[in-house]
Amino acid sequence: MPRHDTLQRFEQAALPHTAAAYNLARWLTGKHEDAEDVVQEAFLRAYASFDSLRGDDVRPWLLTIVRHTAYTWLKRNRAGAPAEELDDNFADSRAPAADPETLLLASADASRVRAAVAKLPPDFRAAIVLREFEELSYKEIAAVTGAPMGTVMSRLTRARESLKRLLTAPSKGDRPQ
Amino acid sequence: MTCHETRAFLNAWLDDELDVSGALSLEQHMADCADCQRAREQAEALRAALRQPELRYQPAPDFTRRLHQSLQDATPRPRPVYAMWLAAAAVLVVLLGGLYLGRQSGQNSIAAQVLASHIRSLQVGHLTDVLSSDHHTVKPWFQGKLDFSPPVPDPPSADWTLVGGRLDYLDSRPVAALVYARGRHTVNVFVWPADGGSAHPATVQGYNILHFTRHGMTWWVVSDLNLPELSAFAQGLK
Repeated sequence: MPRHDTLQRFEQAALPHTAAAYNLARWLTGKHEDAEDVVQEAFLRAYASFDSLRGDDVRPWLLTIVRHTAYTWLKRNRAGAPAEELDDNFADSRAPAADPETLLLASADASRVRAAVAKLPPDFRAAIVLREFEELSYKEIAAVTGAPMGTVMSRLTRARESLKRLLTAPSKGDRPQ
Repeated sequence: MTCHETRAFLNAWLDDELDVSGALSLEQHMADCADCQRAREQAEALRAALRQPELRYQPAPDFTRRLHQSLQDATPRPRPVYAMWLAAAAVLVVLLGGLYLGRQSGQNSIAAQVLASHIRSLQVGHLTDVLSSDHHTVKPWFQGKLDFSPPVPDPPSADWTLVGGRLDYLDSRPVAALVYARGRHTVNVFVWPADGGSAHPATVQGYNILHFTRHGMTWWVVSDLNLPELSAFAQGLK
């Protein structure tokens, strides 16, 4: 088990990223209590393997463990909430949307956006959360999600197409396509 | 740049991931193309919608303090607060002290850590970092995470399954923890390079602990399984 001076070093490195860790866990698990449990467990794991971190950036490292813990948690505790079906390698060939869609997007309120993001499959949701909320680079997202850069790029593209579709759908009740 | 290319790189451009010359030619194209301009406006509107501050979930105000507390509890230093866990650990150390009478104190504390780690691993979500019954998946997973390559033996017989592995920390070093299961019995096998010594089996609070040295590795095997069956299991790990 780690020693006490390690605790101090770990906390200095990790605690500044608590909000990012919680936000990711909250988006992945969907519940406040679950997110707290996941982050707590992830931090304990990170703490136990802190010695193995050498000169790497703490935030992606920590978020990797959070994501991993959240996935393990999801697998164990849930059959899987219904998610949009997205393909990593889907090429979008539809025509560009009309102007009103920009207006719809611009006026989308937080609860509607939240519901749309929650519908994305976990890998796509993680990519969006890491990019838009944590402003991680593609390289960092690739490290956190364990996917190649190309996959990260296509997931972001697909996730954004899907969000656009969900947010510009004519009414809240209708599931687009 | 064509419309098609512009759309393909629009996200990368928006994310500042496009190289300078790519960004320039994309911007040039957009300046002359109303359709692509609209696509960009949409993408920016979506980004603005996503970046509304209230969409970012904030942890509870006391969450950092609670994290600090649980990290501190995981640090070996007597502390009255985390009563249940520490009290249990203290009782175990005393019990093991009796059981291992005459043995090195180092072994006592390792046995205590082994049991503590086993119990902790059975709490929700702690069991495995890599979940796979295939030792060709589990073994490479440890690569780069440990300063040695742990053996990942196949289960001794068909009624046993390899559940997965995880990193653990015992005896002041990172070690490999392998998890096997039969029915409702879970066995934790801890492996790290041997520095000699071995001990007889011990039974503590219904858990059985085996320790031996094999193939240059130190092995600790712990489970609630009865001692004869656990010994047979350990013998079968080749």
